[in-house]
Amino acid sequence: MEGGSQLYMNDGKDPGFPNFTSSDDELAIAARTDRRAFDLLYRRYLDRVYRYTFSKTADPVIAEELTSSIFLDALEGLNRYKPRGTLAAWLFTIARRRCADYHRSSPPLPLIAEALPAFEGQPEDEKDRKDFFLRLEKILARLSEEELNMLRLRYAADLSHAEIGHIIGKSEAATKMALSRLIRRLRGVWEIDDER
Amino acid sequence: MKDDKAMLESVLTDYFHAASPSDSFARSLETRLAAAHTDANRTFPEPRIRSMWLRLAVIGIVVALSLALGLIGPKRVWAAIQQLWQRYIPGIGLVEEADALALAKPVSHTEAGVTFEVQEFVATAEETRMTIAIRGLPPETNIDVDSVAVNWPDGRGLRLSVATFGRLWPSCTSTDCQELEEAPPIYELGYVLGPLPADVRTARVTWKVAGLVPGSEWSDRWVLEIPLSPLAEAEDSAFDQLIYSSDSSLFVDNMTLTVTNVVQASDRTVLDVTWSMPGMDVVAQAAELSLVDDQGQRYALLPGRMMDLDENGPEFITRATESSDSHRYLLHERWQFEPVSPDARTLTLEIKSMYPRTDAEGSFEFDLPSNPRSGDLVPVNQTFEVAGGILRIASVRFVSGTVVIDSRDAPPTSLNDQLVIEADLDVLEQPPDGRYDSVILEAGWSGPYWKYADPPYSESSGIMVTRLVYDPDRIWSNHVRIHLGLVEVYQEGPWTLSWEVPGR
Repeated sequence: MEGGSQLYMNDGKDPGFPNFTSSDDELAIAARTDRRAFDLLYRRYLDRVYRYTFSKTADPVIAEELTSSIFLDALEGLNRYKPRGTLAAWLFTIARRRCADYHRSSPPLPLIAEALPAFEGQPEDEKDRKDFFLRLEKILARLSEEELNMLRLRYAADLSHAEIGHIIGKSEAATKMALSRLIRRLRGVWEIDDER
Repeated sequence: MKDDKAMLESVLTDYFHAASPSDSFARSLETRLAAAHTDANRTFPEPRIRSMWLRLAVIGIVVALSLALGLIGPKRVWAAIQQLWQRYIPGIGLVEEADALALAKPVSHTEAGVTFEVQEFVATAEETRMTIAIRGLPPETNIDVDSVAVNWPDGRGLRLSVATFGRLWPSCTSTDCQELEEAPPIYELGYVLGPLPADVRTARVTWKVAGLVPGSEWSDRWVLEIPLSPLAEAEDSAFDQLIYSSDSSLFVDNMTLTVTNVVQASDRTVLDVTWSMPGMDVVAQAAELSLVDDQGQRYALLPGRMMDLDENGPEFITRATESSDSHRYLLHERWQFEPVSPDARTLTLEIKSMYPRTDAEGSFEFDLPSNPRSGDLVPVNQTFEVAGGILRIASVRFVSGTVVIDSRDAPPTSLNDQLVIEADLDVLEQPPDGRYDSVILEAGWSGPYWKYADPPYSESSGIMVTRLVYDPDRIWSNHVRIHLGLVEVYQEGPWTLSWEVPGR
């Protein structure tokens, strides 16, 4: 995913266009008139958008509502999207705005460990996993909203540094540095926690 | 160490990947999107040239265009062509006239001293754009952009794609601005919505006024009827416009400023400009802008009329060179000036000064006193090279200041006599092309929404340096690191950029 999607033109040799190898921009252009292309974009991004909205809400029903709004907004806005290899950044800009509208009066970090669906494994593994996540949440609760949002874009939405930079208004290098500093800080706290 | 980092990243990935959409939701949303996609295409079918007459007409236009290009030159022909089918709508921009419906004049409703006005409403096949002004509400009123909706009599409505929110203080034309901020501002809301169905000729704009207009009930709504007519049939008195493209460019250090479109209307002159720069951390702010014509007449920038046109963030482009890839950011802005004289033959954009910003990428560390109090001083003595000059931070001090607590659902509140950290900053060497103007300090514990020191800047060595709130709840250890963030450099010009007005 690093560096975002590659733009290449479909030269007509591929009779099956659009298909799973088509770039985001090719699909975005085709999706203005071709439903199959939008379906492919939807499948490509559904999990990532849902994970992002769930991480902001910790509520599966609200996450589904927000995910629906985001894709409907994207469908309506496709004509305005300028294809320059930044579809993921564009989509998550919509997602961020939708979540911000929804979350005007909510705390910055909904704790999601308790709201997660059941783990498919042994009950003792499930308990370990939950304890692990609760420990992580105690550390995340100390972060600012901006820092949390960078983590969500990176680890829930699986965006590249360049794509996150587009959304938060920083260069790729500055985003990389900011995330690296953040992870270093988190690691330090995690280690201190380990020693206790 | 690398393994630890990978382990933490793996934990974060597991944590944020632990939820996934259910199959039933995925299927139902797919069906809903498929229906929405079909509806969207049914409303606005792709235009096709079907009849032989239309094809002949197109060929005729191409032949006429070729002749015109040969006889009177491409620039004037292009200006004339643009005027044939484009209009500039203040607050909205250039609109293709042929397929547009528009509100002929603003409509408004006034009650309890509050005025809600739909100033512009333009519907094209691709989107609907609307600008709204609300007057009479106190400063710092929190207006939810979602409190405004567009629908039509049968109950259907438009979905919001993009909304902008701004406050404009009336008559704020000089250095008295700060005093005028006590006066009620004009709240400006801009909307980009989905396309209006082709059969709708009257839209309704609804505003939920609960909690905003004095005496309103929770269910109160103000509704404005928006009659729409083809833009091409609008009376021309309000649209006496000269519209043309320009490719005039100005080069300042590693930035380029290009004027792309010019609209000369009876009430204003509008320039669409593009900044090209190597990184988003190097943002230029044009200050003290004016337009000058060939007669020496000067036209000022209209107050509050510098607009950011990048709804989806700046454009990012990559050009491959032999040695490496070159990255540039393109920022698109719209600047509006007083109307220029119809007799102007050439126009010159004059920029007296700029404030380019640099990401300093420097940091310093120190140990906090065990129980910090106002007056405590910690020596730092660090130097930083930024934008070709050298800055020194001699020490940091704890002082008593006002802290603002900000949240998204309530007006900001202030707390006096709070502990803040202030840096003593000297300039050892000014940058070669200007002088340092401001330095933003960032600390790991400071977040954007919650607390910040007010006033946010303190004067030190002629430079504005941000203060940091000392917030023990957010500080993890006594050893802290502070980063130099953006540094602004004042550069004095003037820089000028001239172009000919076509057809003059």
